[in-house]
Amino acid sequence: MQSQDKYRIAVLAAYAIALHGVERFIPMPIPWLRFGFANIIALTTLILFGFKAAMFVTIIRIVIGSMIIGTFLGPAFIMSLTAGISATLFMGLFYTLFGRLFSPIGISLIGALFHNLAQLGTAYFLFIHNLNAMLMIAPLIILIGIFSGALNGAATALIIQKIRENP
Amino acid sequence: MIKKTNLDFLKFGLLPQIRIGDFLLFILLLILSIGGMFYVYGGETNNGNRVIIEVNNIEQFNLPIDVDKVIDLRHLLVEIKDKKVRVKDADCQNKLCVKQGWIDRGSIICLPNRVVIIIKNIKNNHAVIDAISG
Repeated sequence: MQSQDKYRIAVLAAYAIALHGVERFIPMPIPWLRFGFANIIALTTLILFGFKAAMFVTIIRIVIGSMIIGTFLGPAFIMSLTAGISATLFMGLFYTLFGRLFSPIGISLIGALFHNLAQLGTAYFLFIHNLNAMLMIAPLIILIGIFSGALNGAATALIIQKIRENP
Repeated sequence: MIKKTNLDFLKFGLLPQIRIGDFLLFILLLILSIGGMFYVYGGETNNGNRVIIEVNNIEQFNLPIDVDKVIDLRHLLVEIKDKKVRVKDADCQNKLCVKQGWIDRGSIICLPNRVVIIIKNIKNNHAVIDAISG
């Protein structure tokens, strides 16, 4: 890895950590509900600098972010890590395979979907071993995820356009 | 010379970036999740007759919903009243389960204390066994 890439990853991870932290101050009707703004940075990194950089940014963001918030190695951290990694993984997969069919909005929807699926899966295997309860909550979480995913995708599309206009 | 219109901003905005794949994916996910919600929440007309309380994934209580009762689970105080269930009090920080209020179907899940409260419809197998043993 070139040193330029390292600087890029560090700066992008710092942006992601900042968004991850600021997001906590937005009041939400349900406390576990999040916009997932950090995914904007992960997706921007994926499209501009490739999959490996995006995965680095995601992992750094979750590890350092959880240390700042104070959830490191707790249940929230484990759920956040599995969800973040699988979201980035599937976004990378879809972007390489079907990149021409989707704008960042579509890729972000995929990310949001797999983020939520991984989170439900982790909650099932680690905490609540009750499939009925998980299935009951899954459609609602996925529905909310569609809207926050589309919002993040739109933000990413605009950011990438701005960057490409004035490099 | 072609006169610039007010719609020119669209060329540089979000709309021209949206592809057919985005649209189809959005609609597909919307249908799947809303369909799933109808399937999960709307499917049962009968709300269920038993309240099942699981702690650490082990069934601790299996109670009839039409008998009013307050159950002390050490971390949670569960109340059954008028065919509804709620968590009356909890010792966790955010008290999500308490805020959820009364439910007459579905479930209340408390992740910190690993408690699941589900309202289920169980056929009268229990009544038969109760009759024999009682």
